[in-house]
Amino acid sequence: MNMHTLLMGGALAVLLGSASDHDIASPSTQYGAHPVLPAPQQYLVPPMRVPPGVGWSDGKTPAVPAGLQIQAFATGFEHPRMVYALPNGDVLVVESNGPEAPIYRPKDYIEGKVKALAGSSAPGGNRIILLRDSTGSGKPDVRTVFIDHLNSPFGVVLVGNDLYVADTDAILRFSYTSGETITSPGVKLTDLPAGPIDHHWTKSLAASPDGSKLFVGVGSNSNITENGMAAEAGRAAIWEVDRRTGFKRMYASGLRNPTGVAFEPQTGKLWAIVNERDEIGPNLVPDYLTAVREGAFYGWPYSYFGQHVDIRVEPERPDLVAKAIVPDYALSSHVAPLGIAFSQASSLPARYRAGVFIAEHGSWDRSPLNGYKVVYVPFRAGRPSGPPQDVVTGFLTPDQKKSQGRPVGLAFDNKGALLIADDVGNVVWRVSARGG
Amino acid sequence: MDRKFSTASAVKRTPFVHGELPAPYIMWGNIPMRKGMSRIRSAIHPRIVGLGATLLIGAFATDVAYAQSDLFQWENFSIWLITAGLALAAAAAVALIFDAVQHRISAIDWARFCGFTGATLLSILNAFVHSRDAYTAVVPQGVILSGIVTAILLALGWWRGWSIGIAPSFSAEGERS
Repeated sequence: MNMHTLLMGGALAVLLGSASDHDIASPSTQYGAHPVLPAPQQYLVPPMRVPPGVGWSDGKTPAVPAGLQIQAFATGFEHPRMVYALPNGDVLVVESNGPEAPIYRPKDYIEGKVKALAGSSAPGGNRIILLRDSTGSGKPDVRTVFIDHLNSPFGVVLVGNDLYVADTDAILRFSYTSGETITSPGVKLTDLPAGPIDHHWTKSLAASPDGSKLFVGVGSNSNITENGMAAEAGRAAIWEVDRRTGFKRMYASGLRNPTGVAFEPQTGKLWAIVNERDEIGPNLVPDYLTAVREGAFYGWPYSYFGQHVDIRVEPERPDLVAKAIVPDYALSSHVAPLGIAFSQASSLPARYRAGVFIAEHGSWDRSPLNGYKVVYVPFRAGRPSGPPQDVVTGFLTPDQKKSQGRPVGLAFDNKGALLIADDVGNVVWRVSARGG
Repeated sequence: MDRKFSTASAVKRTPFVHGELPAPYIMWGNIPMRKGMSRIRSAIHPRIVGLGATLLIGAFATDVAYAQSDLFQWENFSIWLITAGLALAAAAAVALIFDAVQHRISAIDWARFCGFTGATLLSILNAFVHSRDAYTAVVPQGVILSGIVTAILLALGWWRGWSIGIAPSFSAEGERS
């Protein structure tokens, strides 16, 4: 019997398979409209590789290619996640992190410890800081708390004199006057799906070109429905919110975690960056950039990139899988795109003026690491026209053992320089044309 | 070697009437013992093995409930039951060493030891399977593993309870054998 038990154990171990790092295709096989998608794996222990976040030692900066320069615009933040440039040149920095995650399983406890190691658990300020460069030196000389006591804020957008902030549980409207600090309390425009789990807590925000509607990206409440389908009500979707009435409707669904929404300037169409699912392989599933079609279903949780069924979801929904559409542009797997900025306001060299910048926060369940950089995807006629190009790199130490910073939110300031929120380095970086 | 506790047979040889113990006897609880005979100390580990086995068997029940209902909370019950069962397995291992050192058992029954160890190793494997997300955390590998573990534990428990050791025996003179 004992021998029997041992044999059974051995047989099962083989059956269950084990993860290995070899034969991982390069991320470049997963760029664009037709990523190579390997067969899914099921792990006993998903590969976790998390470089500890150590911050930047004095004078060190990320790297940029020739023709660009980078400098720290401001430092010493409390987990800055988003940057937003106001028309008068003031820059808002959203200091934020998610609410405390509940421990539903032993795994939640272990993952919490791993994320703390990576610097992802640092408490956020739950506030918005205003930076003002009144002398034009490229460094702000005014720094004030603009809005305090927010609840895990992320998205920010100004429409006329109304400043909208997407807390994790609601969109708030503040009355804004150029040059002044917000004094009146925010008015709730509408509730958003939040606690008590709030697994993907960021609520990304953009306003339609005519200013009448707000678009909100709401992430799923799990990796792949392990907290039950009831917890996913209203999630993994982009909502359209009427700016005047607060009335909202689901604009598109099946988008696991749409961490950034933005309007493509040439066509005026809505685009989103989406973080796809984990734990079925180092090259599955690619995160993506896509135009968001009204009423469309993008697959989560039942399938990915069209009709690739995820066997972890039960009961199956072949009816929904059949209508799942393929996103436009894969960014490769686990890069974790968190920031998006189209280049219409760019004063960077000409080769960076007709596309979109995407901040890739970086992988945690993949070896070798992927992401940890800001890339540029060129566009032509309102569509991606080539592979992503590295723009800001060097967030990892050269040996890839530690992360000095991780890029999150992106914005162009009123001089056309690219601002980057770095939530491990606690810095806002400014990338501008060299000599410009 | 007599594997049974020998107290009863020792007592039988010298009949007595309750309350009128012959001189060399004292009462230990309601058990008459010959003076100089060491107290019979029972092993600790079977109690912990029994508790741990109950939890691991419970995980099979919650796995079956999950497989039939797709309700995620059953899977959460399973992984906590398995985790707690494994914690008790670790405690039982410590208790087994304690029992051996204290001569609460005279020897380890290696056949049973292998059975319980096999169930523990399969449960460790199962804890990793149950740490996957959603359906494949349970079906099919998780529920198969907890089913095998349940079969092993029920067989061992039904066969001879939760002891992994061989109980010490005593001679009529009260000496340890």
